[in-house]
Amino acid sequence: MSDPRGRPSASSHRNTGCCCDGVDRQDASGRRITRLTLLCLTLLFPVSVRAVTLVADGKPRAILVVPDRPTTSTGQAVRIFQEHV
Amino acid sequence: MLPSRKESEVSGNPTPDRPWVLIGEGVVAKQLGFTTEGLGAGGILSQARDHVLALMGTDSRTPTDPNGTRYAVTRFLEDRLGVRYLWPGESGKVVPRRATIDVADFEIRFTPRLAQRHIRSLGYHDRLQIGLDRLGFTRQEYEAHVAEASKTEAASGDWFQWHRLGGTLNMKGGHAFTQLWAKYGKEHPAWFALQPNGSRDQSANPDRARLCKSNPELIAAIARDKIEELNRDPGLLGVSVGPNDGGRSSFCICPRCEALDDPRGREVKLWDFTGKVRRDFAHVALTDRMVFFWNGIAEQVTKAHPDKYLVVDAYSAYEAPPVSRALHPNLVVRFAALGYHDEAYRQQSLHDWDDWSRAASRIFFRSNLMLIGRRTGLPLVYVHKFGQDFRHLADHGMLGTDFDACCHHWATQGLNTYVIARLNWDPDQDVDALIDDYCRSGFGPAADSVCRYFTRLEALLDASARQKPQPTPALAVFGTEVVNDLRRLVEQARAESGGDEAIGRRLDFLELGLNWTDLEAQAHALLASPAKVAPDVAKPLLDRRHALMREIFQKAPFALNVAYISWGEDALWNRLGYQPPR
Repeated sequence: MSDPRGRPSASSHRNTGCCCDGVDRQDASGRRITRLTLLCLTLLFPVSVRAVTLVADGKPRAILVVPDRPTTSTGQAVRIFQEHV
Repeated sequence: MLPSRKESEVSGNPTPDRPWVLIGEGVVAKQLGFTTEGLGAGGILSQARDHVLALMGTDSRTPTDPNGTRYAVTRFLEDRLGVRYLWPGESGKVVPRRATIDVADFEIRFTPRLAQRHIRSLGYHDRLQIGLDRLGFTRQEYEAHVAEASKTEAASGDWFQWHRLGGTLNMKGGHAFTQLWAKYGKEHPAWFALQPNGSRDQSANPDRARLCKSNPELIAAIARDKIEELNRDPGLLGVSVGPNDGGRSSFCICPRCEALDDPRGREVKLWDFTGKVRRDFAHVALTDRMVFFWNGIAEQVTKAHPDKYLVVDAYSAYEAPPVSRALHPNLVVRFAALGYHDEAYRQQSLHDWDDWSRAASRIFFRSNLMLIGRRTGLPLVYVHKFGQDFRHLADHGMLGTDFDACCHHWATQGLNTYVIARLNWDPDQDVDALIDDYCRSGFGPAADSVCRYFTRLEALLDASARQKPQPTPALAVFGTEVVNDLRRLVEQARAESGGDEAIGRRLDFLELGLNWTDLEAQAHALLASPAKVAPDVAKPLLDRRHALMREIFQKAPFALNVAYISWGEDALWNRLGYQPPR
């Protein structure tokens, strides 16, 4: 049993979409690309893509893949997910 | 419903036309590079990429919080699909329906800061039976109504589970010496507290016996008992040495115990029931004598179990932090103070938390704050103060929580419970955003009026908490004018709801709480001068109150826990000569 203060506790949220680091940049030709330009490019060509279509026009498209020996938590999770999606 | 396959039944790779949703961490997840490695107890990975949505938790890898995969799913449903579970039962459930559900790439790796997130849920017990008897219902009827009201169209599990409450510190807390008088009373009467009348007899309240904390033989006997308890259950990380609660026995007044108190301690009130009438008297806080007692036990127990802990309480006459004694490092403090009925008490409690968290190597929040309004069911809303305080506690050593208790007054106090549950999962969340989301998710176009309704309620309790002396909230806060203002907000919300049926049902739920508040406040007002109240005034009002309680029990048992209110309140009406209809 571990000391309750010894557990890993770091939490993190990471979005993988493109974001500006707040610093003006220079392209290869030396021209400055402003934050505004970056923002416009991001809006025009979003890096974030539709990774998964779970349901299309009311029809299931995805399948759930569950471990062969699911934990109790997984079993509950599958049922909750299926009934809400 | 999306079809489900076992890992061994799938082959090939996920494609745009046949994406995979991995639920739970298995072989395929590992092959595709999805892992919960590095996450702590109760941690979740929620990620979409490469035509795969992965929802998984640390589960059995962290036995103190094994439900991560379920947490990952409910959080995904909330964050990405807008599902909400505002209060138990279908009317509290918000499930947006969409013909097409796309999920863009994202990744969340999260471990809850609090290793134990617990809100006790008040269930059937002997007090409830007293209320049921008064209202003319049976236990079977209570259980049947609650079970029926709990159902939701889409399976949600328990409301508390949905909100990712869970995890355990794996320590037993509580009042530890309820059996001590029965075990040692005859043979060792000197181990028990000397009372003001010279007796050490605890037989009137044996399960609440007070002890002579300075007695070395008692300390040794308890240490032996605790060592045995840990031997019997080696998986436990800690056991309780918290004193018994309440009762008529007072704390020990023998010279050796009194000498353990630090005269610089905060003044507290103690009690003496040994005379003809109760006598309350001032005393210094008993914390330093308690620390002497706890340390004595800890020193002996840790010789046998150096890695185990002893759980103690910062509560009652020993709520103030110790003045002169340092706590043994293997003591874990359960902190019970903090409440919102009195601003001065709140500030003192926060100060006490800071001192206790510095004094103890480990501390958790065993809170009674949800018990405000438990007997009346009144809408005493304190979400902003709670959010501010809870984050402070989390930033100052809080390992976990144990809230006593959700009393199931959801139509009046549901927002409190919702915010408490959400902040348990992540104390860093913004309370304004949570409230705004609660109102927008549940009440759509009527959200602004509903938000104003809650803001008004919160302002009422704030104003009451600043007053001295403290008024009875029902009398001072919920007068006719205030109730009428609140009614206008509900009516406005209804007009703004556009006739949406689900929103209408939720407004009905809030309005039921307001109807109750109105009658309860009027009834309490009669108690200000019972002798002046004519029977023809009291009886019709209290009959209406009784009828509303029965109606709530039968039609909306989660709106207010009327059986509990009846236990807590209905003896009061004898002062008005009132007997409920049979």
